[in-house]
Amino acid sequence: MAGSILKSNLNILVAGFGCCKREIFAARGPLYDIQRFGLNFVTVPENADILVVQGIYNRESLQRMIDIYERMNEPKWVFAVGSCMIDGNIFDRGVRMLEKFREKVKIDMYVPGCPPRPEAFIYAVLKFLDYI
Amino acid sequence: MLGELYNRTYSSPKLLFMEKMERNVHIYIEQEVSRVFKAGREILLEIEGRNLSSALHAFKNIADFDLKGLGGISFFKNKYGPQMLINFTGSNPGFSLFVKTGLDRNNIREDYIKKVKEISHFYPAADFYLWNIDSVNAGDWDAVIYSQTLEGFDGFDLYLNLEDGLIKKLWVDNEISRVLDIEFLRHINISEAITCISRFDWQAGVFPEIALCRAFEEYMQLKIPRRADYIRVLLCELFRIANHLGFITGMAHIMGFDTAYSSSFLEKEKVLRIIEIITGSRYFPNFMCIGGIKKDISNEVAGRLKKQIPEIYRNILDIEKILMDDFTLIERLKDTGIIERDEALHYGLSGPNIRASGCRNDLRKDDDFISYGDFSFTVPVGRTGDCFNRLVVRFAEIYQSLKILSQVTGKLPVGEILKKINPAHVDLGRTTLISSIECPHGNIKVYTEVEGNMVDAICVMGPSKNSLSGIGEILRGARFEDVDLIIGSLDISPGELISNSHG
Repeated sequence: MAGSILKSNLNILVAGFGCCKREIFAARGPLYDIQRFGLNFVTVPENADILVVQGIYNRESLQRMIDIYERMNEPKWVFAVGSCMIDGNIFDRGVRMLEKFREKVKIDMYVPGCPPRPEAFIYAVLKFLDYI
Repeated sequence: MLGELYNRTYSSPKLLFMEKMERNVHIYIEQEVSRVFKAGREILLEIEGRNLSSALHAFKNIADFDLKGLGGISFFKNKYGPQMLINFTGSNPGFSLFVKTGLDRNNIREDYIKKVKEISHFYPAADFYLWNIDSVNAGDWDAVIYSQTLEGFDGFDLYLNLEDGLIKKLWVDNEISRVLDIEFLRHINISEAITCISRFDWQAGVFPEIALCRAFEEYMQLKIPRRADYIRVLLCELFRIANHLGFITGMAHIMGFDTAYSSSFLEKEKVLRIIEIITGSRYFPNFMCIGGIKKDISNEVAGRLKKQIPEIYRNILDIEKILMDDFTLIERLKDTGIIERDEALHYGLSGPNIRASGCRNDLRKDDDFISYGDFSFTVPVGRTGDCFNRLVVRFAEIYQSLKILSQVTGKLPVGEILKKINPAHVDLGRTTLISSIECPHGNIKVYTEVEGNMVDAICVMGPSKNSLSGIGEILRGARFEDVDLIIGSLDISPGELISNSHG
């Protein structure tokens, strides 16, 4: 029951400092129109169901991301989007973001690409809807 | 014909500026300067730390230097240790002078702060590069706007001190965007650097790529094929249109104007689709290489683009009409977020933001920059420097870009697209290359140090950092509810904020 209610309306919070955000937000525009699947973008962590982590981080922004995750209500899921998260940060090659982040939270879905196209993000979300 | 006469008879205004600067340096501050270096189309001075203050005094007080603004401060590391790079801009922000000075490798932070304080004594805009929210008392601000909570806010937090709903004072904290490693892009080959550099402009990645390629081409005296040059112009203008349409989309979203938001978004996607057909990527083309471009465009694609130009033009005219016919919207935009011409010069603003304040500055005209001399276009200029002017200037620039595109597709030359050269086999010795380019937000400057065929250091100075340094001035006295509108109107590209400099 909870699954079917969630499936009809999921709120996404995009966090992080990176260029994937442009492509993710392109999905809310009239061409891709992600809202037709009942997916909305929000900025308040308490209202969010899915946390999208993308981009490049330093110590402060990583802590901020974990704070956002902790403020979210259960059930909550995390998507890791983009090459910076998955393969490593091109601006600081010694830092592997995902390893640091995974110490604190569990990642539910990975969307590779630099940046991934809006279709790739929508595809990942739809796959995830089937999963939950 | 006029264009040919101009190009063959006179040097570009930028070259005249360089000659003048070099002359002034030799006459006024020869003792202070260790080395004067022409790096591409920029002048680089190497000054020892102890002589920095007297050189700054000369820049500010000797009228012949005409260096009014601070273009940026950054630091990087090369094989000799940490270095500080300072950029000063003239009365035309496209004309600038670079100063390099060493930092104490044992106390980088302290030495950096000491030098920035010296600079801020002569150029108060340098205070921005010292801002640290930890040094401000918690009780001094009334409101905090965190990064990404509003449209246009990415990569920095804003701490506001309010009085009767008006902003009295503000602090910008861009701690979260200081992600660049000091060893960034060191010890990689030139081709890798060209691929990575596009990530500095998240909205129009082609501009840093072209800037870096041009730097190498100028140093090697490599004249690239005419067809490649024209395709570079074509891509630049397509990215400019896409960026400005993205700007209009953002502004419409902030103002809650959904019709304009949807229409401009669809037009932007159309332009991005063309870019994707040509380059294979929407934002980061990885399309440029030293000596030309990587892939030719087919006649079919050029024909398709030519057919789409009138359609895009008509649709943008419609968007402009629906936006500009709404008097409530114009009332909100007019006289909001004003920055005067002199103030804008002082903060080193460039691109459409300074053109909206009435300064006719465009590197496409001032420098004989790729093949722009072959095309007829004008530089739109605003008057009052408010949000309305910044929006109108960008609409006018889209029309001019469409005009350039129409000319490019009409007379695309036939021939080679690449002077075949393998950067891995080229030994450039040890040299410094600087190149600047007119990107949609302003002048982006790329500083590179090369040794052999490997990159020793790269430093990118983007115009968005100048816009961010000026928001203290622009937002002072503005209404709290206009903050997102004003910052959105400055078109700050977050990718340009990831430099090493504090502030």
